[in-house]
Amino acid sequence: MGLTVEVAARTQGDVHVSTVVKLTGPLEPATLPVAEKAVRPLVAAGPKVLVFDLSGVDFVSSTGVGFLISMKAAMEKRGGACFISSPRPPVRRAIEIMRALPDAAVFGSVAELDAYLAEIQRKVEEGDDA
Amino acid sequence: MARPADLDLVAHLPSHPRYLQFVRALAGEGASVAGFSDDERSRIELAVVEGFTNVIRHAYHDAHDRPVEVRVQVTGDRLRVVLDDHGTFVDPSRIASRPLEEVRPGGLGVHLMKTTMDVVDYRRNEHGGTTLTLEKRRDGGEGAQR
Repeated sequence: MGLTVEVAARTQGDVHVSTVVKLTGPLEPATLPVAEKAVRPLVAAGPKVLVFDLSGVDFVSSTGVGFLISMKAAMEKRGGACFISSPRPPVRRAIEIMRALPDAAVFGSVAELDAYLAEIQRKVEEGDDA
Repeated sequence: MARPADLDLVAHLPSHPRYLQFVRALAGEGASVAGFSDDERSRIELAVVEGFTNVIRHAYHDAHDRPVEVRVQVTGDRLRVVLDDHGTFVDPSRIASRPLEEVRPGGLGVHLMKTTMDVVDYRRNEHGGTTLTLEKRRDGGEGAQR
């Protein structure tokens, strides 16, 4: 089974909140080229927030986790942020075992992440960065 | 006399990433026959995939047409997976797991194998390559002993 990549913009009202990359299938060495080809140009386009929706990923190897780490680093280098959303339990466990990403970067659902981003935005607008 | 294996699967595969899913299925079948839980089976599948990936990357330097023998044996509650290659002997210290506080790619697979399996053993084989043995006993606790 291969990997498919779907890209969508999430908005709240007229505000573009994040670019969501939904991956479906295994994320491992055989499927990595597909992910690389789709996501690297997205990162280069410079979105503020990039979200990987992993709800459709049934398996992730260390190569796949390495890819997520690389994309997160590339986003942060450009001044953006990168989050993981909705990993299935085995995938979440693999990420945890490898302690590859900070807990703060992994969310149970896109809605949970949206709420977090909205709160961050509210704090910025109110000048409260505590 | 040693007890005969309840399951003994042997596959001769090219060192190509396209076979990772097949290797994963072999490992998963062995884990199921040995009676591991779904959670443990997922982790074992991942550990074996990491081993096969290391063969491609480190023993064969990403050549995709070299031979790899994958053997999955179950005896009672013990699962044994052996990966044999004809490539460069892999010095375990060259692919040692890295400090986990460093958030960067690489070195995660070895850590994963060691935290999942009871035994992670690298030996030079008669082909000059590496024999990687991964073993886990059901309810055997976590973490490699060697």
